[in-house]
Amino acid sequence: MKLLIVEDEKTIRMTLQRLLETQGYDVLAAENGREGWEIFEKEKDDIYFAILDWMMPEMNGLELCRRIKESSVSHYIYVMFLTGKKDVESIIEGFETGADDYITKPFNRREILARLSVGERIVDLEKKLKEKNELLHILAIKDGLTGILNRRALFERLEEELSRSDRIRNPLCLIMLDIDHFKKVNDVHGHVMGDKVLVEVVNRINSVLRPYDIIGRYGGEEFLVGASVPDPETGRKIAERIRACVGERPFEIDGEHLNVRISLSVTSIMPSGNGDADNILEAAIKSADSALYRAKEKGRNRVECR
Amino acid sequence: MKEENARPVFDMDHALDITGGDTEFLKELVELFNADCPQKLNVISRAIEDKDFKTLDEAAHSLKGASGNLGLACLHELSLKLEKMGKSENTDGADETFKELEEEIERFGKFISRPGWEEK
Repeated sequence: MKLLIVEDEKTIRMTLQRLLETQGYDVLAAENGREGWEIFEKEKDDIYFAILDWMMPEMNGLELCRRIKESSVSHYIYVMFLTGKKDVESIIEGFETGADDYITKPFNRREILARLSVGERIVDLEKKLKEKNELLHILAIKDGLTGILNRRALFERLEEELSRSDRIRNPLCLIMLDIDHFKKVNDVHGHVMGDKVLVEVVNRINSVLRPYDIIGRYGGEEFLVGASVPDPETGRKIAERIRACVGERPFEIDGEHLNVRISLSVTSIMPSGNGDADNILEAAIKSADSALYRAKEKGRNRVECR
Repeated sequence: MKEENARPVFDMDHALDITGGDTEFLKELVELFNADCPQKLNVISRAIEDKDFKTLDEAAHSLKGASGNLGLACLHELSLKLEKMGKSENTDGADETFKELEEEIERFGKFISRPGWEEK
């Protein structure tokens, strides 16, 4: 975390720099607004604090403050004025330009440090808030049990992918799958075991998907996979691979061996260029649903294409 | 130098506060400030002469900042006076104030030429 000092009076700049460096701040110093802006643009990802003089040649502190506050940086930058302008109008103008604090000269060593520690509190709060937001975002899009996309996020991703596939004129293959006789697993082994089966099914499917394929939880024991493919036949092959990887060897969970099978349907959405991703996706899911129903009718543990 | 000016050149408490008690650093800053003084005085004197209010405001403001930072209380006050004249675009009495400023700078120069001035 760096601190930028912009001050044209050399002795004041040196005083500040020395003071803040002895307090452990990583200081960058500039002697006018223009130079301050140049340094800022180069180092802005690391700059969290700025102490600006107001009256300076080339670019004054007010303009620099405005630019800093308008720049696109991913974190909060705490800006303080340190100026000889003591009149109320200037103080108000400084704050209205976006400054977080305003100190008048001559400054007192302990006061400036105390005020900087307020800045640290703000910067720290913002950092924590951001971390929490990221966590909330993950919770909002992921299925809590399996870690794959939840239903809502899945549809959003599929719509995006559909638009993309449409643009590059690739079919989007939609694979819907359902665990055969899953209710029986729950009834015989309990829901804890049922949950573990769901997790293992997802792990196995993930092991045969490409990193950019989409997988999400569509319902209780139903999943949807979306993959951009060169032709519908490739989609069918992916579905077969998924069926095989789940059913080929028994699941070993808590010392028990379970044979798990899945039924799948494959629907290919051909590029149409009409861009109505919402409706196209809905129709495709409907036909995937009925194809999956057929797979169940025909004896399960199989892939049915539409 | 007028004898009646009994006010100290330095507010030593302030000077030592901002330098964290580092007298070597304080001496370094004072030398830099001192070296800059003639040029600053020049600009101010010409601005008064030309009634260039903007330059007077800026130059006096700059001297005010630097002297205030070092705890040069009298200099700080005098430059503040000149800055106000520049702002209000009224240089009545500026010559006298400038003279006082020169005298104060002379007093400052003498003060720092004495060895051990930085010891409180």
